[in-house]
This record gives sequence, C-alpha cells and structure tokens, in this order.
Amino acid sequence: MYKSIAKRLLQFIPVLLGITFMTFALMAIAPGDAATVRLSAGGTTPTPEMVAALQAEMGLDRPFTLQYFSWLVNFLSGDLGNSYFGNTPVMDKIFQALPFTLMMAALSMVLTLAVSIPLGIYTAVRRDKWDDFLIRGLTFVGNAVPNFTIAILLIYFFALKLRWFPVLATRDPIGAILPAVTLAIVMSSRYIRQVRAAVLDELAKDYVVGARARGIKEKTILYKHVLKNVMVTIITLTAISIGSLLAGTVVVESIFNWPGLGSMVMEAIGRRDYPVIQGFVVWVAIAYMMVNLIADISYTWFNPKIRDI
Amino acid sequence: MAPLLQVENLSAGYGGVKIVRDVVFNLHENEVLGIVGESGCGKSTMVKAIARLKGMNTEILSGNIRFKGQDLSTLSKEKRRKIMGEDMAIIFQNPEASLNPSRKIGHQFLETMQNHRGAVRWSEMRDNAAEIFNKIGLDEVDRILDAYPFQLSGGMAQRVAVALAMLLKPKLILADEPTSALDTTVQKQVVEEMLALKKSLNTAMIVISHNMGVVGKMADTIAVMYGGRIVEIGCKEQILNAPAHPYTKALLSAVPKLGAGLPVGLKGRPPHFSCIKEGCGFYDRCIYCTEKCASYNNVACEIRKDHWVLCGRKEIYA
Ligand SMILES: Nc1ncnc2c1ncn2[C@@H]1O[C@H](COP(=O)(O)OP(=O)(O)OP(=O)(O)O)[C@@H](O)[C@H]1O
Ligand SMILES: [Mg+2]
Repeated sequence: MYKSIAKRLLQFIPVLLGITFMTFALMAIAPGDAATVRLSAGGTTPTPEMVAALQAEMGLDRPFTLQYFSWLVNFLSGDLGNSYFGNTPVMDKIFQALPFTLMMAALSMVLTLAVSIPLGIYTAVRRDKWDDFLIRGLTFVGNAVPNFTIAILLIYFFALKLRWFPVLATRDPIGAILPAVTLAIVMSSRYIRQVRAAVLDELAKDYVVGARARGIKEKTILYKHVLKNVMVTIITLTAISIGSLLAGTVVVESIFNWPGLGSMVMEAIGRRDYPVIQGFVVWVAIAYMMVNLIADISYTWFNPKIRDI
Repeated sequence: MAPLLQVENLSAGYGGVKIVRDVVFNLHENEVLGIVGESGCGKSTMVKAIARLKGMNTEILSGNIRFKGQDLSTLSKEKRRKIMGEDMAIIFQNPEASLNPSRKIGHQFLETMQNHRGAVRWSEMRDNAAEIFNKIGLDEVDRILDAYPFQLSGGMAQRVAVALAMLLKPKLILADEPTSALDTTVQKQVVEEMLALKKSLNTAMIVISHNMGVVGKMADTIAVMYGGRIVEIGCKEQILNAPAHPYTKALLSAVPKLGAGLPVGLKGRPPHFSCIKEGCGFYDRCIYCTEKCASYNNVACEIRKDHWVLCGRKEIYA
C-alpha cells in the first residue's frame, strides 16, 4: 500500500514535466507577445525597437527551450518567477487567490453531496413514481440550462429582489454563497442522476434478494450494503469535480466578481502574463494528481477487491 | 398436526404468463420435499412464488400459501420480513446470491441476527456461527468470519451460505439447487452436511435438484414437475421404485446407472408456457398417449396413500 503510494508520487514527476513543457510550447506558438501587450497597455502603439528592447529585457528573445530550462531551474528551487505586471511573485498571486477558490470549492462540493446523495437514493427507491419523475425533470433542466443563466437568476431573485445577499460582495465570505449555490445546482443535476443509476444497478444485484431472504430490513440493505458499493461512484464523481473546482471556475467567478484562481488566470491570459499562467498550470496539475491519488486510496476502503492502487 | 406449509392451487408466473399451474402439496415439520423435473419446468418459479421476495418478479396468479397456518399474502411487509430468515430461509444456487461480495462474512452473520433479535454482540454471533460451522465441516471460524466472500473457495462459500441460512434455526428451508455449482465430490459432502444439520435442527426443506442422487439422498417425499404442474408426488420409495406417471418413468430411465447401458432419453422438447392449454401437458411426448388425453381435464388421483398422479390413463398404473 505505502509502496504503491510512493510509486504514484514518483509518477507525478514526469507528468508535471510534460505538462509544464507543453504549456510553455503552446504559449510560444500562440499569437501575441508579452512585450507588445505590456507596452500597449498605455494606449500607444510601441515601435518595433521598443518591443525588441523589452523582449531582450524579459528574456523572451532567447530560444524557447532555453526559456523553459531556466524556468525549470527556478521552479525546482521553489521560485515560480514574478508576474510581468507589477512584478508580484507568482507564488504570492496564487496564494492570494487560492483561499477564495478553496472556499467556493468546499462550499459547493458540500452542498452538492448533501443534496444529491439523499435525492439520488430517494429517486432510486421511488423509481417511476411521480416524485421520481419530478426530481428527474428538474435535474434535466439543471443540466440543460447554462450556469451563467442560473447565476443571473439567483442574483436577480436573492440579491436584487429579496436582498438577502449583496450583488457584489467580493472578498466577503457571504459573497461565496450565491456562486457556490450556482455551481451546486449544476453539479447536483448530474450527481442525482448518477447516484440514482448506481443505486438502481446495485439494488438489482442478486445479493439484495439474498439479504431480503434473510429478513434484513430495507433500510439496512440500502444504507449498509447498497450505499457502500455506490460510494465508489460517488468518489469518482467527487474527485473529478474537486479537480476542476480547484482550478477555479472562470464563468461563475467573473459573474460574481469573485477573486479566485479562475479570475486570476483569465486576467493573466489576456495580458500574456506567462509566469502566472505557468504557475497556475503547475498548481492545477498537482491538485488533480493529489485528488486522484486520494480517490484511489479511498476506493480500496469501499471495495475490498481492490487492494492495490 | 397441521402441516407447516400448505400450498393450495398455486398458479404463478411472470408478467402475466402462467408458469406454475395448480400446484397443491403439504409439507410437514421435519419433512424434506425433493422437486425434480427437466430444466425450465418451473421448479424455481414455484419456490420463488412461496418466498415471494421483492426483486424475484414472480407474480402469484391464484391460490394460497399458508405457512404455520397463516396465509402469507395477508401479512404485512414487516411481518413477512420477520418470517424470512427467522422461520423460513433460502439457500440459493450460488453463494453470490446469498452474500454481498464487499462486506465481511461476519458482518453479514451479525446483521442477520441483529435484524431479528435486536442488539446482538459479535461474540454471541460468533458462538452461534461456530456451532453451525462445526456441523458443516468448516473450521477456522474466525478466519472465515473475518474474510470477504471472494476470499473463500466456491465450496467453502456455499457452505457459509448454508450456515447463514441455518443461523436462526428456521423451520423451513427452500433450497434451489444448493449444490449444483459445486463439483461432484464437494457436492456429496455438502449434501451430507446439510442432512446432518437438518437432523440436528429439525428443519423442513424443499430441495430442488437436477441430480436424482441428491434428491434420493435428501428427500422424504418427491414431487415430479412437468410444464409447470406437479404430475406425480409421493414418498421417495414409491416414486423411485414404483413410478406411475409416464413422465416420471421416462425421467427415471434417463438417469445413468453404473453397469447398465446408455439411459433412454425422452424425445422432443417440453411445451412452451404460453401455448399450454387444458388437457395433459405431456400429451405429445407420451408413449401411452391416446386420443382422449388431449382433452383430459387434469385431476390428480390418489393411487396409494399420499401418492398422487396426474394422468388420465389409470389402466397404465392401476
Ligand atoms: N424472471 C423471469 N422473468 C420471466 N420469465 C422467467 C423468469 N424466470 C424464469 N422464467 C421463465 O419461467 C420458466 C420456468 O423457469 P424456472 O426457472 O422456474 O425453471 P426451472 O425448473 O427452475 O429450470 P432449471 O432447472 O433450469 O433451473 C422458463 O420458461 C423461464 O424462461
Ligand atoms: Mg431453477
């Protein structure tokens, strides 16, 4: 077990190298260049000489493999470089945005699980009854409507009409609620269906009839037998969601003006702020790999047949 | 004494298609009823209709099942649940059908006791399990209770399933081919162990088997099914030594014997359930068949005490 965890951690290294190199390459071939963007910020068109001078200053005139290599050396010594704008260390920028992203990720994930596990089980047990149809209809709507529409509806009703929340409450924890609810509505719509399908699958297994033949209560069958096996599905879903939530959610963050990683990276892309983009990619890669590792470890807990990860 | 189980004119099937037809029999305490008949004749369906658990999909179309004098169809869900496991238990063909693969065996034993007896501690469950394991040739009680079902061999897992069915000392066990998934040597052992266990607990059983040897060994009474009907029922000796129904005769002569020639097979296939009408169902395959057999209305006739036959041609067995 510990051995395989160590092995997985070692596998992180080539993956991380590959991803950062690819991002670097993509940024090099992408149109637009950081020096021009930076010089045009004032509204004037820079001369080619000015651009060339700044490129040399920023090290952008070197071959791109060399650029990558020097970035890598700095990265290994724990330095992700500075933003082209304001010279803030990338590390600081990430750690500034991260708490906001974490808060929203945690809140929306907890909401999603709290709603969709009970409703998924409930709709499975009430299969083809009116309330099953009703809830499934709602999840269908939740899946089909884009998240910005949901966000705008929530703002309209809860911020403008009912005035329960400020319309723009950036940085205040209360401002996390509406964006988190938006994300939770979208995710729950998918989760409820998947949990329902997994519960139905499990209830159709032979051992369920076997448990009934022993006079086991339906509640026990549901919560001790079925749910344990359904947990594997739930963990898979959760791992995928947490992975993308930790990367920040661009659309929802910009609607609610929430200063998370999504907003940070959108700004960086617009300004060709390569060090920030690169730092963001490193964070996303590490977050994804850690979440998957934790998910794989927890599978073994729910499915005794998987003993090796 | 009133019979433990009374099946009265039971008809059952799936989705409106009648499979089991007008089955009548009584089972007394401590009695073992063996059910034989070729594949697809409705043996499992009959047992499922008696247990009638959610997920078995069997519909009862008419008739009554009385267990300990109570009509099972009039009982509440909770009362039915309490009967299952405590008074009536099922041994399935495969251990996978009895045991959840991802829960430890000990937990499944414990929860069975707890769902019927309230707060039961592990140690108490262990003592109960050990007593039964002992009789059924399973040592290493703690290792088994601490294992997951997939960590046991097929034979061991099936023994565990038998032990689990017997845990609460039920009055009646329904066993649908309890040994068919095992190889022949293990099969023989498990049959013997089940018999020993049955004797010590005074359990009545309904045992379905393709294997005449298994039925011959375990049963007191044998019922022969054909096309969803019981065509002959009687005590084991009568059925094996003096079969009356043409189908029973054909079935017995199809059993290979050591030193004898090849068994005589039965020509043709059993009828399709959706096209069974009134009249004798065995009609088109029977060597004694006459014109009037097609319209013969099936009324069982008691040819000796407790030996019933469903055949209109009295002259062939009288
Ligand atoms: N769940 C089901 N839904 C619909 N039809 C079924 C179902 N189970 C069995 N049947 C049909 O009922 C008939 C009798 O099946 P049953 O399983 O009772 O036979 P059996 O005597 O137990 O056969 P075997 O010896 O092969 O186990 C068959 O024609 C079968 O196709
Ligand atoms: Mg069967």
